[in-house]
Amino acid sequence: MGKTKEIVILSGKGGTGKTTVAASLAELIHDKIIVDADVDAANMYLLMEPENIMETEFKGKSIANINTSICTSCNLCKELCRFNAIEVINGDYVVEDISCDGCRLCQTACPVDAIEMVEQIVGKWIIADTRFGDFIYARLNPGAENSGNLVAMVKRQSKLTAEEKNISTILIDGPPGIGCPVIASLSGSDYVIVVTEPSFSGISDLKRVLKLTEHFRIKTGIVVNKFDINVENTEKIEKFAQENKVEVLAKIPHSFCIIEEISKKNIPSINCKELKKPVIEIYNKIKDYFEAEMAN
Amino acid sequence: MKAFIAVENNAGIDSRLDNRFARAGYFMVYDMESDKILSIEENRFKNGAHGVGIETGNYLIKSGCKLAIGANPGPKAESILRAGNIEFYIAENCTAKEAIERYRAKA
Amino acid sequence: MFIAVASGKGGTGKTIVSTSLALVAKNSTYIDLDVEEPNGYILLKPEIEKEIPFNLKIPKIDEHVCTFCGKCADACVYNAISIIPNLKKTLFYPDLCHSCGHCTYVCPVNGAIKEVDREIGKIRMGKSKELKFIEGRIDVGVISGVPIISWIVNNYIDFNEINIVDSSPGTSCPVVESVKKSDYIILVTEPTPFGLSDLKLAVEIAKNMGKKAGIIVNKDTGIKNIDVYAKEVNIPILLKIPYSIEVQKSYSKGIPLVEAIPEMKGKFVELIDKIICENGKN
Repeated sequence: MGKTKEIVILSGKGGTGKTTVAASLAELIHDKIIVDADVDAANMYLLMEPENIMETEFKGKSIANINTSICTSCNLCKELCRFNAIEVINGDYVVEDISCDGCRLCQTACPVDAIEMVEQIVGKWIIADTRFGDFIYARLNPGAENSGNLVAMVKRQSKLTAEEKNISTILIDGPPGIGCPVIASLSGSDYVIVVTEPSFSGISDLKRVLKLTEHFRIKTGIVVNKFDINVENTEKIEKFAQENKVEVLAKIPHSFCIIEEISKKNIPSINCKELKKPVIEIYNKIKDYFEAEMAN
Repeated sequence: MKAFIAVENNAGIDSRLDNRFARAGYFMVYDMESDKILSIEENRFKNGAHGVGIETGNYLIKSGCKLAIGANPGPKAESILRAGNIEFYIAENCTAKEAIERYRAKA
Repeated sequence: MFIAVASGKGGTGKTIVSTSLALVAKNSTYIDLDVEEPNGYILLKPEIEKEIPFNLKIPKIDEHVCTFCGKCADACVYNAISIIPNLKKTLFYPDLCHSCGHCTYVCPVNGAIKEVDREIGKIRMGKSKELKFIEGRIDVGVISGVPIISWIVNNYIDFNEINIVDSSPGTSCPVVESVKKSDYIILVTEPTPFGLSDLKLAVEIAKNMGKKAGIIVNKDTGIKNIDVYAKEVNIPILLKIPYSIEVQKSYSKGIPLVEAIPEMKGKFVELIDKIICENGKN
């Protein structure tokens, strides 16, 4: 029994079909845990129909809180704060929760110890049963930060569950962008699938994501979604992939079927032939890669 | 010489090594001369958001240990161990006792 | 006037909408605050006149002066500093540093920590015909886009003019930062269950911040899930952009919507006039 394999699906830009590919792959892999790490806007649960939901509150960073009865309004904290998080409202010094970064500088500096750090509840992570297996996802409270932290938490939980139940694959629907949540979703992963589309922005985002996976030295493959919308750009992506020694795993055509199926909350690869074939291709290529790795 | 051993649980010298270094369950400090466990403490950094490798590395430096035993450390923990001239012995899938024996057999 | 274009979910057409609005509004400025993935330039093709590096302050420890007391490392909640006293060594990890200044503040030795600049991104400014163009972009691997967003909002926006801001996608900190000072928020969504689920989060943010908002439905297939929800929360649907392969094809070629589909131009002119008339300060 080898180590549990972690596959992360990324896109750079949102809306390229990341969740569609993730859900379709999830349907193909038998022995797996599905993780929705797109904690800012988790969507996969809409297709998964989770049951037996167990929610756990998630505490994020601590932020400063000023006790106004002790505060002498000396203004030192406000002067020092680099995040402009301290405001004076009706003569009282208050911390603006959204801006506070939790650095504790104000707490250290306060001459009368009027500042304490208070842990924030920023969201919750959820473990549930689905007809596709264990499903772990998280929801961040709107406007809350620290999604990188929550991603790490969700990943840790999925690893624990995988070890406990001896599950071989963790499939992670990663966050969009290239920021902290994405970095958190990458750490410790074994394979990254980047879903892109043949638009200029798709290509420029793809390049940025590849820079990141290269930095972490994680094996990466590309999926071109809606490749037939701009064949010329698709060729550019293929050329770029070749130059950078990254494999194009599959190309998925534009399809109304996929949109219709998602609107019905179905996993689209079940009824859309044009999606099923490329998804099987992706699955086989990744399986081959892991088998070759094991043999080494 | 004192050794810093990253273990999964607290079962004395039979504690199993954790497969993560900086985020291990417990840290054991072991005196190689007198063959005694000096302390086993729960790792309070393991659920940190960022820089856990550094927190653990800083903690190790402060403990005064010159040898670290455990799973392969991440890049940040490794950089601190290297800067601190801490000898590192990678061991996995065994107990603390077995790891110490293996280390001695090697040395 | 500051109009923020946002969307809970990425890929709903936020950039298509914000560039279209900017192109039809007279004397406007388009500001791309989707700093992780700024894409507006692809459609607007601006001539870049100025490129300014955006720096944050990071500590630099002088090992000749430092006493290796370790107070800075203890103060740093981000674990960006490591001190090895017996070997008189210091380690610093810039990618973990949040530039809070705590280490410099607690350092008891004069001159042991100096603050130096670290470039984390760039602000580009230029013009696309009549349209003014500003873009913030952070380097790959930089933890947070919030500092550059807040810098641009506080220093580069002329509130007497019309500013169309393309905000970050999602519903976390960067979005809050980019819509904080807005007069009106346009939420772009699509009529799928995903689109609706993310729209709900975005609406919650707008409501929590006490902002006026309207919805644009992109990739409209005739499904009414957004209409039902919009009515429920009493937010107007400003415009529907039909689902069409033409729209997607023109986007993939880098052609703005109002140029590719002329009938959309009239609709966007109407829309911007209406928003300015109802929400404008002057």
